[in-house]
Amino acid sequence: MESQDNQETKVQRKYPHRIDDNVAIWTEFRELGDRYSCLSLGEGAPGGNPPDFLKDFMIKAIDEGYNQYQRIFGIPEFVNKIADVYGEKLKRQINPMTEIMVTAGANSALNSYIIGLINPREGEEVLVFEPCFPQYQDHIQMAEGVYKAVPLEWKENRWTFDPEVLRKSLNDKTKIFLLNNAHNPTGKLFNREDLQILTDILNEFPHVIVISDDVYEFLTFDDQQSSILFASIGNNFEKTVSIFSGGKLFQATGWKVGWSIAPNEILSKAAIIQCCTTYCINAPAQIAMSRSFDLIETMPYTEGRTFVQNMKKEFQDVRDFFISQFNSISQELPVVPLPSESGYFLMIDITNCKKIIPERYLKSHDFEELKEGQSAVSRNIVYMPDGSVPLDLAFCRWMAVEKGVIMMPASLFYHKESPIRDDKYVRIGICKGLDHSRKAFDRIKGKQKMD
Amino acid sequence: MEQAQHSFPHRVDDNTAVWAEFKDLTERYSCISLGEGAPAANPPQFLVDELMKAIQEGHNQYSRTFGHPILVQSVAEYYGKKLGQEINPLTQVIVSAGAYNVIVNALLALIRPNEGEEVLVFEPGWPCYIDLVQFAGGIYRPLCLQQKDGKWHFDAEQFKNSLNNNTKLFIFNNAQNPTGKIFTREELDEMSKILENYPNVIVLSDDVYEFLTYDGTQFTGFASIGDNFKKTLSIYCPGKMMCATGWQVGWAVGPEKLIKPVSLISTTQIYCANTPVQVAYGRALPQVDKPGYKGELSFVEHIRQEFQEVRDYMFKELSEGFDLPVEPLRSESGYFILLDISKCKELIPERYLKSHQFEELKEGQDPLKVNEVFMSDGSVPLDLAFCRWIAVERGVIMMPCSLFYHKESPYRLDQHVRLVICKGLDHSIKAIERLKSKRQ
Repeated sequence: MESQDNQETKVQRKYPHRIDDNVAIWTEFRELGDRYSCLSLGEGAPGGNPPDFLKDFMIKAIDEGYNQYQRIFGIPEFVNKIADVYGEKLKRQINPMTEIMVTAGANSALNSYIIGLINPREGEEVLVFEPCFPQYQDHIQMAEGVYKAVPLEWKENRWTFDPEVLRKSLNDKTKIFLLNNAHNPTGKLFNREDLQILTDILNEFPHVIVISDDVYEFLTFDDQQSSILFASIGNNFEKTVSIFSGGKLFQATGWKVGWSIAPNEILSKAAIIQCCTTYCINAPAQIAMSRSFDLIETMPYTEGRTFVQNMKKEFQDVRDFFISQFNSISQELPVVPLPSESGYFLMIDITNCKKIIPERYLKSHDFEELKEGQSAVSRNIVYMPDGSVPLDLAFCRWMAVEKGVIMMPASLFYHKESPIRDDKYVRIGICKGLDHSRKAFDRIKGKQKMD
Repeated sequence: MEQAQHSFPHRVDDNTAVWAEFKDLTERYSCISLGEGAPAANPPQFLVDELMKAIQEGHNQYSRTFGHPILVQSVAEYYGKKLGQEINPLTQVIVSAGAYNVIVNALLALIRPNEGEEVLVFEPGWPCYIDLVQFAGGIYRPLCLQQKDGKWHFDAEQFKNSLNNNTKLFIFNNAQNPTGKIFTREELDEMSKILENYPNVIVLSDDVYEFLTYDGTQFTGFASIGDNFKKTLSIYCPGKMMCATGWQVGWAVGPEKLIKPVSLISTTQIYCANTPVQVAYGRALPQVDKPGYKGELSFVEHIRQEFQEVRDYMFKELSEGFDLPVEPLRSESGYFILLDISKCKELIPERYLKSHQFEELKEGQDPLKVNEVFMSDGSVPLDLAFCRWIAVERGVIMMPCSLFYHKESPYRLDQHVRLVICKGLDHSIKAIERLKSKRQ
């Protein structure tokens, strides 16, 4: 091979396109947050802290020597505990060694199962309810499956789905039905009736595997019990993967420990993928969580409430605060809050705000009044089918720039080509604590931007 | 309800069986293990203190997807010095859930699946590369390291001839597993020159053992030579460096155009890496080279000394006064030493050489599930037979090196076994004493 002058050698490489670059979506709001010194009600990162006893157990686990590679699918002490706790919830004996896989956070579980189950490029479909957690799209794309959605709609004061629409969307090519209960972003709890309807419809399509994203199952409001696990109904366990998040349960989303429960025939497919991706999971964190499981539900932690009870109360207080506050200023800001039954978020209907959002935000994506030499923030250049700037995106940009508060447009929680994509809702985090939420609302009301 | 029939993808061969055999042998025959590359020591107190501090300070929630600012700043400074390169912490560093995770994310990010893109790897080498290349949809192509007079050599002609227009990646594990070889400056220069003829080839420099050099040998990062930084991802493993392999955070540095695609895969898979561990590593990194950790030694110097002590002990004990004619090979770095066991063939009981059914089973005992692999002449690999014999009859686990080649590799040898030197002197002494005592 003749040698070439290094200076003039043109490097031409082709890279795979396994996944769209959706980081851009969140980048706009991060940049707006920085530039306009915003308070964030955007990201689902809680304002609170994990319990002290969890931190202590972590350090103790390190001293005990849990610092090296462990059993890939979870340390025996931890998986045994999970089997006990969730065996009760699912009303069955769970085999800790074959039916539980510990993962690097719940998101990693979704990744491993979807990639492990989908035959790439064969048109296998994954059906979800929209609006939904946007990363579902990314996992499905990476697995080379086909993303398909059916709508959740706000009707008669609750989020509902149409069983007929669901039934028509299922077919031979459906591989997975991905159910998120307690739901992000709506906060909907699928009740027993909902779940029975889903069970009955899915029984007409017995080849469909269900992935039940149960990461918020404990975080229910208004004295409701934990959400009902799909896998606990009838024979559903045999076809269901249930995914849980230690980060959410222990208010330590950065610790990256999750777990999944499924029959071995299904779990083993995800296990092969995990062996190739994240391998073992953080060891001392597993032990710390294992030893904290009982305490978060039984030990008085704050003002006589257990850690979980307290988390539920704090989040519910913020939810109620936002609902009553938005209602109190509905003349000036005609936003309609949609009560959330669970989780980290509250949706608000901003349809009636169209007439008060400054033209600049509605007209185009050039909404900033730029200073000399300043370039625009990275923006999501997206449109509704009628060519308009999504109303919720316009609203959120207005809130960021002129009120100094970050919220998320719910249209980002639909596939960008989804035929059911709606732009009339905005998602607000109720996970940031009352102080932060009060300060944010003061800004929304139009008080001084300075704290 | 009718029984569901599912069809699942075959994205990668299930090779967990390979290691499972040795885990099962360990249990059944109550073995002391010199098999797995996990250190016995605990992480240093300064690292543990930093983790506690990070947790107490509230670093417990989601953090920056590419890597926590405190950590990436620290990584950019520390490895920038090593590589003689200004590293931009925000665009030239990616942090993932362990070095293993960074490696597979790099492969997924860079290899176009099923397009015939080739990945060159030295053998014997870390077997997981084989699985990960398959998973990414690439084609694994081995290069041969040959042993002569106690040293491992790479063949420049073979390297040159193995490169072609389909070569996408060269996975270069320096401070090599399992040989411990540190590639000399001359060898690196020669490789760099050859690669100039194939400027599209990306180098994945797996430098996870770069800190663990012996006998004062210098380690030179491939990315530090000439213009190599522009085409190289350098992978590092704080878990190995700070004896916390179970903490599962690792990182890579490289040019933005290589780092960015890796970060996209990482973000999808895990969103971000463990936050408090990242902060702890970020604050601990500047401390690892500070003198005064043990006497005048820095932490890294102390680790090197400890491991080298075990290496020297094992080398001596297995060279003299050992009833088996094994020949230990010099290891310049890392967690392992190799023994040449070719002269032991006549001593291995027939049962182990003849077939994979080597156990003398007790009443009611089921045979263990074993690796039914063969050499190209149809024989049971000699090193596998040796390791099974030593496990069953002497109660010590070692790893057969034939498992460190692709099972169809034309270079596959079965004359070496791999022992770890990372378990501390006490454990190693126990293992050697058991080995030598010919336990019944």
